Amino acid sequence: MDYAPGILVVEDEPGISGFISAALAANGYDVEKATNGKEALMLIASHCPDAVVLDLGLPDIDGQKIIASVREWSAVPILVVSARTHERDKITAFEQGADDYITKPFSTGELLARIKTALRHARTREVTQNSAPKPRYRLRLLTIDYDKHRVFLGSDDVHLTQMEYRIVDLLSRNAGRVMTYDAIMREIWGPNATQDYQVLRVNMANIRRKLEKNPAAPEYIKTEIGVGYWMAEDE
Amino acid sequence: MKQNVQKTIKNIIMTIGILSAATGFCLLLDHMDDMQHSDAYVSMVFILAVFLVSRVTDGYFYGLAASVYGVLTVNYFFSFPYFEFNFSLPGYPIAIIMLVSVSMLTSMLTTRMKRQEQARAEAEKEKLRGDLLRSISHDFRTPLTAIIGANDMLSKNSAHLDEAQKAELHQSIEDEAQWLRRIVENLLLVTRIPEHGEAKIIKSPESVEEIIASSVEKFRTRFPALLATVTVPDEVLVCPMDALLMEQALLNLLQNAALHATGATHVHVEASQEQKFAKIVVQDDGCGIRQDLPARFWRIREGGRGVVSDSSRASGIGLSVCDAIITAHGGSLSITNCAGGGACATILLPLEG
Repeated sequence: MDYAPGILVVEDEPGISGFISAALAANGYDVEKATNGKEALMLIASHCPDAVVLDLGLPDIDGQKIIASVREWSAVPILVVSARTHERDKITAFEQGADDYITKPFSTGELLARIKTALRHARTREVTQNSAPKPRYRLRLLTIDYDKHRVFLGSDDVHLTQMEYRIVDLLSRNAGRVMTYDAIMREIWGPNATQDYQVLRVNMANIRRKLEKNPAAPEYIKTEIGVGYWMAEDE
Repeated sequence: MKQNVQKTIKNIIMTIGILSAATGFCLLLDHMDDMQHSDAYVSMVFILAVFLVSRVTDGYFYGLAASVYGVLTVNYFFSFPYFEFNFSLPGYPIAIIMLVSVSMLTSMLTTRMKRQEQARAEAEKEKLRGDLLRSISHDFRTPLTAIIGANDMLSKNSAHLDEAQKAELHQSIEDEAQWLRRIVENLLLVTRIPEHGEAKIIKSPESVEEIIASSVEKFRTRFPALLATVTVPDEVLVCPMDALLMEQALLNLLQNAALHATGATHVHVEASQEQKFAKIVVQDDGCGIRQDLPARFWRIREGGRGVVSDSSRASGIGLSVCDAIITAHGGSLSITNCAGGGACATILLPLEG
């Protein structure tokens, strides 16, 4: 690593903050800590960390509001760590622009892996912003050719309906990131799409039957129960 | 708020229904005997109607409204001069007082009865809650003792321990913490299962394979040593459900196999359609369930959901939560020993439509 990426840990419980910081420091990150929302907003603005680990239950400002206000001006990866397990909280966090949502309790291994992913995303985002968009997505046997609008499994052409292709296209361009059902509906069926996700579920079941070896053990498109779908990152 | 509106609508419909029935009944009788003896029964019919309205509606308003209606109707339709109001009839004030008193007294009694029922239900719920809290704090002591003890050993006596002993203590901290995690997950979800009289669980159509996939994936990360396999049918099975609850129910069944089925190396989940149900079978190749486990499990079910009345920890709550979740979805859970050895849990969930 050329330079140590800076991570801001926003957490008011000293026990949790302590072990997260220790794990991050031991893995070569430059760690800063904030124990409340005001401090967090100030440090994000002044120190520009490479990623933020954010607890939702802070004493002064609700974590969801912090995500929203940071997103007004910064694309810094935000990883939520929270004891709130309700899908409502996850959906709100993702819709506000959080990059990941990890429920407590979690292992340090899990956290480190997800921070790494978030940092990599941020880098690729930067790269693609300054150059032509990627021509294809590729993972194991699956290839999505964006120019030709075609999907291959190995050398086999997979015949997706137009709707199915648009869903796969959307998820693959946001690979590694959960897209809420609402966000997918809005993107594919337009802003006035109904709240009925049934059509999306059926399309997804069909997509999985065409792409996955076993639709109940998917390796490409995963479900975040009650929240949305996400596609595994490409190679 | 919405409930209040619903209640009001129900009350209004009940009131109108009963009064229309009474009026219709009187008109019919009247028609049959040509208004000869209407005085004899019309008032009685309306007293009965007012009594019924006060009994089935909430509060005093509807009963009083019904008595006013009764008084006016009797006056207008059924007493001389017909189809005209005449408030100077002899005994009229007495009729009014009688009807109003019937309505007031019935409403009072009904309200009091409802309050008593509610108080009893509340007390019952409080007792359940108390039992639950007591048994939880009891059950939490054991793993906490192990964690505190092991940590104490590691931090204060580490010089006297060899590497193997240290590893064992670390492992026991990990195991007990994971046990607490499983219990806490379940407890949290139990709050989403409605008690009697509360709103129903919020169900939306979900595809069964997604729920299975998600719980199996969680299971795999927690118990990588066990082989977990899945098969689903070609047709998509869609059931109305609370996805998080159902995921937990399946995870509990899978974890049971890992934690309690001695010798298990493989868990298999299979979904299929059976008439109007989605059938999910979770099968392991372990030692099978002990003969007494089903009895104990069903006793827990009868004793009230979520009550961890079990002395051997962890065997009760997972299954009883699982059962409560499936029951709340209008489905069923049965556990048997399967032919090839090992335990076999079968879930039936109503399909959509």
